[in-house]
Amino acid sequence: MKLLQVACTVSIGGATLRAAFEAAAGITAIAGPSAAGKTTLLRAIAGLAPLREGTISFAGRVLSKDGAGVPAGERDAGYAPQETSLWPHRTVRQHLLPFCDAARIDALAGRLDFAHLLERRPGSLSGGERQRVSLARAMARRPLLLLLDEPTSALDRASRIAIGDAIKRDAAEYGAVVLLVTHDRAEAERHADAFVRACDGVARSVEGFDAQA
Amino acid sequence: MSDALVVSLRVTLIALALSAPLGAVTGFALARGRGPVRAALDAAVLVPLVLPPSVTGYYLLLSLGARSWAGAWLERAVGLRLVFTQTGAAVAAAVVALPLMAKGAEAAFARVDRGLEEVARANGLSASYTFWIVTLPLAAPGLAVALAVTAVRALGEFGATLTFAGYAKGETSTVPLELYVALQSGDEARAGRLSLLLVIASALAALSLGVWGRRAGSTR
Repeated sequence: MKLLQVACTVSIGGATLRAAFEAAAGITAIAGPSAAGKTTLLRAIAGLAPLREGTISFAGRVLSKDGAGVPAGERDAGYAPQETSLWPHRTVRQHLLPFCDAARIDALAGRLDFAHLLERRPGSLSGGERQRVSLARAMARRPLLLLLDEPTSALDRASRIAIGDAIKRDAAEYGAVVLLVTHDRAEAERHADAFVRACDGVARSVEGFDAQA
Repeated sequence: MSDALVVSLRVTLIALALSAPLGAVTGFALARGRGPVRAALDAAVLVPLVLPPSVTGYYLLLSLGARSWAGAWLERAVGLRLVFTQTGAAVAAAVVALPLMAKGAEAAFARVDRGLEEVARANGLSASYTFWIVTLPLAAPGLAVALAVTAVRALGEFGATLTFAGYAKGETSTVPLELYVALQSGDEARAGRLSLLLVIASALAALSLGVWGRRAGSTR
């Protein structure tokens, strides 16, 4: 039985998305046209958006069931939102301090290549630099469930591959289930172990990045 | 004249100690609350702002004066008298200034991007920890502005203070009350000096508000 089990319906604007898939440790790429509800699905799994109905469970624990669920702060997940949502008043190091020790900060800064930015605040970072910090914040506690919403969209192709490799290696160390929303076929095909496609109100497991089945 | 200033500063500080925490908590509830309870709280908070201060003072006298049930209890249980005392003057100033603190705090908390709190929660931080490291620091500049406006309002309070706490030399004799008394007794020179004092204090407050206001407007 796979760790993450999703069988639910979420509201996206006036429409709904019906999601039915399972994910094991490793990277599951979630693709699909924009406004298909990928972000809302990730927010629902993180505990930030309510379900219309159905169940989300992880490692045998029910996280959400119909309207209710475990509060977002108690799901032991890591979440990197699409808009990064860095805290404007805190330095990069202060973004990670609530979650891990100094050794882990140094390790992440090395792997995701932001060691030179640790004392800077988000206002002076580029879009790509912000995304790396947001990723590190999500990964800092070594969560078993990592929810990454287009975490490398502002990076160039080469960095995207490098950062993807780093995510994959880091997550493999603690056996995390990674849900990775992406529009980049090359990134998905290089890093993903499984695929989910969200399209026409349905999100389900498929064989490959573009597969419609 | 310096006596009046000392009384005014004391009254203002006590008034701030009463209204700032209560106003900040009320403002948070207004910023985050929904539905009829929030609407009722919002209306209740605004009452001292829309009532003439002398009317507010009159109702304070009815509810907390020596002949009221609560006033009698306060004096019997904790030996606290409000009429003709500095505490009473501070209570009057606090009640009149409270709406400004509450509405200012509401605006400060409403400006905080909920996404910044959500990402803290979704990464495993507790609600209270999130409040201390994300919400409060981001609302702080706006709270400072609200505090300054509240202080200026408390400093200038006259109507409710005179109606509720009355005039007692050295206790409730704040600068605005002394100004009124000086004019009544024909001491125009003293009235002029007291007015100038309030003008200077208000100008200083307005200047610092300008600085803080700009900082509150640029949190990024």
